[in-house]
Amino acid sequence: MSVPLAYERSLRKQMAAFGEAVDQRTKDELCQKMLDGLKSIIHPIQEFRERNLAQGVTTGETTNSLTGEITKLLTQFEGGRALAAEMNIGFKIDVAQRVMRGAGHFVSDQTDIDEYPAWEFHRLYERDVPRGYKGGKGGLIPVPDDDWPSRWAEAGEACGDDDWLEWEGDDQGGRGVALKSSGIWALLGSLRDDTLGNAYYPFAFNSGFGTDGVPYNECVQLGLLQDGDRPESAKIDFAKLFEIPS
Amino acid sequence: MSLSAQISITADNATPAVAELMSSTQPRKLAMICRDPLRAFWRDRLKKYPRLPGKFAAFPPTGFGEESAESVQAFAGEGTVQLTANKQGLRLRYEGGTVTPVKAKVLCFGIAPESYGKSPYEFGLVQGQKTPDEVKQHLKKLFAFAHSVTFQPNLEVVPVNDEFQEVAMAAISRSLEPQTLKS
Repeated sequence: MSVPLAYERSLRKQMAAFGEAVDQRTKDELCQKMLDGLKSIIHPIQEFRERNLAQGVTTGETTNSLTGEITKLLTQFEGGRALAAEMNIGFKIDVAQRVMRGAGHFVSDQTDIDEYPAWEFHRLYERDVPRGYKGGKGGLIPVPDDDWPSRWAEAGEACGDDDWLEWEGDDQGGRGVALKSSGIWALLGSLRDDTLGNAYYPFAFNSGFGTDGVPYNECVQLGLLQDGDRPESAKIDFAKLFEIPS
Repeated sequence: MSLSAQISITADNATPAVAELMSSTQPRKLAMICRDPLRAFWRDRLKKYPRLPGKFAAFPPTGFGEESAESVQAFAGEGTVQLTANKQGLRLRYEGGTVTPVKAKVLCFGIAPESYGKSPYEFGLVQGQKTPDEVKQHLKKLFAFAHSVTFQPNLEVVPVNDEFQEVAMAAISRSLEPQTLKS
């Protein structure tokens, strides 16, 4: 599949612009609006007066109960910032931004399929507690079968194609290589509970892992392709690009 | 009487290889070959963005370097690769400049491990409300205040052209290597 250059540029610019626009102030303002909205629910009369509506407000048992619950909720938060902190909005938007950027890379990486038919999946950023470990008093405690090489092997076995290679090296410095068209990518992002449902990185939050292109020559050298093969791109379903697994 | 020789290059066995070589040097193709390595090169440079010296070096990272690295994008055109990084504050680090408060009265900087890279609003300060004395005292231990701060230019943020060209040339050389030489 060939992605038109203009479309690719537009998509990635839009994603970058949107991601950068959602700064801390925007998050706080959104939460403040949410609080204001809740306040308007428990003080509906004022709202009606301002809109010059004639009908009165009836308060039944359900409304009273809802009002009580909302009032209780509002007393817990002094402002939008407190609500944003409670809802962990910053973290969630950070993950969403990374997913958007990953989607942009995923789409544009299909345009250089002749030059880079495969991705290598490897560690890009250090983590204090990488997957495969959990924090303990005496340091890191291994969690069997949770690291990325284990996930890679599991996804590879389940994907049903031979377009991927066994993991090279260890969790920290090693890599997994597979053709962009392999089913391993979709499974890597959906097999475990902490994954995000993407066929592109980040496959799980805060993983520190990402993908880079593997040149055609290297794919031939590794045995993923025969010299002269025309590699295929990954199948892109734009309707499901950000679909969250059920 | 004269002799003449006519050689048909279309029947020449070498032609397909020559054609392939020619096609691999088309501007668009070269840009595609260079795009991924150039993006990765700048990304890897940014993720090692230098930490502040002294006690700040031991504080938990704010994530600025990683977020900058994550934001790098590359577009391939006809013989060109355009690289961009969409991270607020990155251009300031590169070009230098003075930051002054826009809405607030002063700028705040975390000076303790728990406040480094964070806002006073995360430590009890509430917008539009009077700050209790005990909160003020606590904030003074966690933050330094200033009316402006000046960043010196840091040209390390963006690699120089020679560095980019070296990466691009390496990528092109790799792509032109015949398989027989590798195996």
